[in-house]
Amino acid sequence: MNTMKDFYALLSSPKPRGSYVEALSEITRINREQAKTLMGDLWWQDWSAQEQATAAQGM
Amino acid sequence: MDLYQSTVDYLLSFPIFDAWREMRAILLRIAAGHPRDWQLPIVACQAVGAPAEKAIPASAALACAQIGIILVDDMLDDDPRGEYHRIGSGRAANFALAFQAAGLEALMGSKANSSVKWEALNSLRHMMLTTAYGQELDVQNPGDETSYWRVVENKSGPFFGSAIHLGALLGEAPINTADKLKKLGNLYGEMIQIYDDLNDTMAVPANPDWLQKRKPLPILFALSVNHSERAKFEELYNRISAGNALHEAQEILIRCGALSYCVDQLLRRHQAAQDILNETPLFNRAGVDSLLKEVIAPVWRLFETLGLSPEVPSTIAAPLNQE
Repeated sequence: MNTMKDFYALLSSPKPRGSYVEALSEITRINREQAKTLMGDLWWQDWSAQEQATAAQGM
Repeated sequence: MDLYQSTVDYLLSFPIFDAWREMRAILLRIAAGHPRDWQLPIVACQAVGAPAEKAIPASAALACAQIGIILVDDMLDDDPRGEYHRIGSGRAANFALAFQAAGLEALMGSKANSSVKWEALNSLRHMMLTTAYGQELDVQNPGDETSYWRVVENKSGPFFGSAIHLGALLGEAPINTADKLKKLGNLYGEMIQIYDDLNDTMAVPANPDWLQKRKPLPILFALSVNHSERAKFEELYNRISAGNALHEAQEILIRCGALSYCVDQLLRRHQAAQDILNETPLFNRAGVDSLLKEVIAPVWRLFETLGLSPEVPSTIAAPLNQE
């Protein structure tokens, strides 16, 4: 499996205008603030954070 | 129907939660946070045309399994939020065992016929065993791409696959339909893991993954691919707590294509899940459709901020099964 190296090679090569790879290469120019958009909605971590909050309240 | 109240009421009908008050307290505390995963069996059950109530034992089983998994996961990860800090590792492990068994009991207590119950128990058994194996692989800190995806396939996919599968099974879906939904759920779980890795990597201050020299997906990419800033990234990775190192390392992750790669992997999984949904005959697919829309929404939002049409990525991402 070598999807990372293959992907990087694709990202580093000339990209047709309006293509999928060109769209993904735009992400290499975002700033850290814009990257936060990708953080998503982390269901997996929901309960652990909630547990900490309720524990802190002495429940 | 209040899913959380119904799930808690169902579980509290088992005598162990009366006898063991602290187990009951843990369940109530977690339920108060309304974990969204508990909805997944309901969504699947309704998708195959059965009423939500039929999936309550599945939600209960999933809830118990999840509590057990996270009690252990927190110990494996040295998570400062873990219950084991309060009660000790031995007791936390014992509670984890108890919740795993309670999950099986929740399915045993359902009113489904014995063949459905057997399929559901088998699904939960497979998920718990595979997840435990995935956790063990994860603590080895996988250092290459093949090992990384093996962890994800074992640790992250099966939980969500089984969540959906259990709901479909208790809704008495044909086995083929339930199996397809399980595959969709596995892909969904892998997407959740990729988001989790993005979050752990881009969080400020440095997440324990950085401090413990772990390799979530973006970091693994930046350490594996021969990009022009790799040496600099390795140097920052090894002194991430110093000065501006985290800030600089995160900017390299963006520039070297690590985030682009994660988005590519998200889109491929989303496309594969969408393909499965399109070929699976369902009584009501709206709930599953919403799940897939919600899970890819952060990517669409990013494309919007960049002025890109979501049609480009959604039409060109090759599904995983074509690789």
